[in-house]
Amino acid sequence: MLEATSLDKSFVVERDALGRVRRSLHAVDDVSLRVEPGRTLALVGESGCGKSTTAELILQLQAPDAGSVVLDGQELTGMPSKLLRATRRRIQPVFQDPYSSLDPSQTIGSGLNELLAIHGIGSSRERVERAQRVLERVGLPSDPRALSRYPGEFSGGQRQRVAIARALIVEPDYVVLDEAVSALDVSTQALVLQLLIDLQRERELGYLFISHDLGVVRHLAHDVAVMYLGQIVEHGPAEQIYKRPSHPYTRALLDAVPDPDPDFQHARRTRRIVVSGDPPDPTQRPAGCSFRLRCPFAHEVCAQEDPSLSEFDGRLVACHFASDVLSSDFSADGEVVEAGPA
Amino acid sequence: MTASIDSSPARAQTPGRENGEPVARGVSPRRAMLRAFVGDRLAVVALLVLITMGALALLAPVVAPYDPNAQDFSQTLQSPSREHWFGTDDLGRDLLSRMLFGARLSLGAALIAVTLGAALGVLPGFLAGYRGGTVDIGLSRLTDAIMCIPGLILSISLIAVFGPGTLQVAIAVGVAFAPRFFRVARGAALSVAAETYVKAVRAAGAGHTRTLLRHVVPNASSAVIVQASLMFGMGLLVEAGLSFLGFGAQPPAASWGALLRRGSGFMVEARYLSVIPGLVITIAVLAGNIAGDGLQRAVTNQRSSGR
Ligand SMILES: Nc1ncnc2c1ncn2[C@@H]1O[C@H](COP(=O)(O)OP(=O)(O)OP(=O)(O)O)[C@@H](O)[C@H]1O
Ligand code: SF4
Ligand SMILES: [Mg+2]
Repeated sequence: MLEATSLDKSFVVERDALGRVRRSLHAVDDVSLRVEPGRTLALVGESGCGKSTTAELILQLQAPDAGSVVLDGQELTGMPSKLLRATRRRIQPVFQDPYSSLDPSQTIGSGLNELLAIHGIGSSRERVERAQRVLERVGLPSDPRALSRYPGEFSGGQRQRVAIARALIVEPDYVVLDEAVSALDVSTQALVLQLLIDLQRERELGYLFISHDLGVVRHLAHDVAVMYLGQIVEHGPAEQIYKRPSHPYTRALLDAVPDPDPDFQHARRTRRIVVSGDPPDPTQRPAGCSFRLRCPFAHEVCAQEDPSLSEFDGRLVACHFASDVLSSDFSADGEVVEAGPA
Repeated sequence: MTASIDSSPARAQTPGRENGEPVARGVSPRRAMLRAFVGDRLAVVALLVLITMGALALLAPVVAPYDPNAQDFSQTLQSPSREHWFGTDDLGRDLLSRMLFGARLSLGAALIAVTLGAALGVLPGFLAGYRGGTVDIGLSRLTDAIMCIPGLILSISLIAVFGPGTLQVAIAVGVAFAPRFFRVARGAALSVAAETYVKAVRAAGAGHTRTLLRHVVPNASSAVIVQASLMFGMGLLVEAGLSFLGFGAQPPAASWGALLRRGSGFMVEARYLSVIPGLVITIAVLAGNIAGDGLQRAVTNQRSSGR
């Protein structure tokens, strides 16, 4: 099990002349997540809410200010880099941009070989065989000529397959997919998602699947965590979250999915929530609930008390009025608008 | 996003297209760069000029019509003629032969200066750009300090310590060049270090040394190669300048700059003695810059199309 507990990370945005922090940004605020073998936890939220930072904390690419990442009982944060290498094999990344996530000056084969070499896996003959097997598995040509190709010779979808092959070749237990299909066109996206689903079944992989798009997440998530301004605002089984969203932000995200899969969509209400306004400046988080300036359900209490993430209806939610959100066709001042004809 | 899931197993696809989307057939980035450079006529001509000069310098003992230091007092200050293509100087020495031997000193000094500058500046630059933090701050401060001193003054004071001579000049110029190489290498490494693939190999378990040598250096080196070719022209120029001031090759040996200096004493009676060295220096420097610019364009084109 891969478990992150109470991760915290702030960035300094501005310093004064004496080097003291003037403005800082709480990118990840008390985030706890758990990825289990064979299951997918989706982390969703709009751009800049801290998803990638969370991923990098888990991948040990950044050190958290507080909190811990534990892999099968072993603490990873602060682990000496020599020891960390062995555990890095078990948690592999796939990043969003298929154009910048492969070294342009390295052939596909030499890149795959290098990954095996880093972890001392196989003789050089075995490495070539493994590389061919994994390329074949992700649906790419695997002949020796394919191994000697450069990333520049592949399309976006193919590069993302290469990135997946790179993650798989060292036989990890967990894969952190940061917007792994977001840059692909719709049909390629579907193929790559299916590949990910098949691979998970085959190898009992645990996925942390990061996306801003609930429509994509729906296809493979077992659990969903919704992030807003660095905090998890709702976290629970995918079915619960999709069918019975209890945080206004989750509802707004779901209502923004243009053509929902009827099976998975929450009982369609006659009204839907549209979040007004832009995401607030993350360096100036409002006091109280950080969503309150965009929230159609907000009351005075929301300005005074930051709702804590707590158990509600079989999931965790951080909202003072979760039961209202769940049960109501709440309408307030035009911020909850009529659902248009689908 | 409404991705309908296709449940058929992932099919092997022809490389070069996916979902009908055609993909440019690529080659290695280095080869693509070379191809772009070869397509650049002017740059190729400039490079050929430099190569010819280099070859003539190497072959000077074979191709030079006369001993460069042989004096012939019956043939002093002869204008260019069939016997002496570039004429003779006040001691009756054949200028063409002296230019050919001088090329060894001038081109050699520029080459040594560029090599030394790169050797001193590039690796620290890559390291600073890749690691950032205190490593970067320390090395950058040091570079700034060196760059505060104007290159010529730095060179002259180094020569004051080690004495005049072509090698000394080359070393002094090389030291003065090092900060420029540092800056270019640092900038290139900085942008490569921000690339996702660096993050990806780090997350996959690659150590800093491997990441730097296998991923940052290969991708940042084209910027350094461009810089080196541009610095070659500048090295020639600085060497010529220092030799002109008398810090370079000592008589009877003479680099192009030293020949220009001697020739400048005969502006009235033998203009060719200064015009020819001056012209050759200019051509060589221009050729270096044009070739460097061509290389720069090739790198940029390759980068924008090779993605
Ligand atoms: N190194 C950094 N220094 C300063 N601020 C940073 C740094 N990295 C991230 N941030 C800020 O932290 C916040 C969270 O960034 P992050 O990349 O984690 O968001 P994200 O949810 O992945 O967004 P996106 O969907 O755009 O990828 C953003 O406001 C970003 O500007
Ligand atoms: S706590 Fe208040 S402001 Fe925050 S989401 Fe719930 S209702 Fe909205
Ligand atoms: Mg991101």
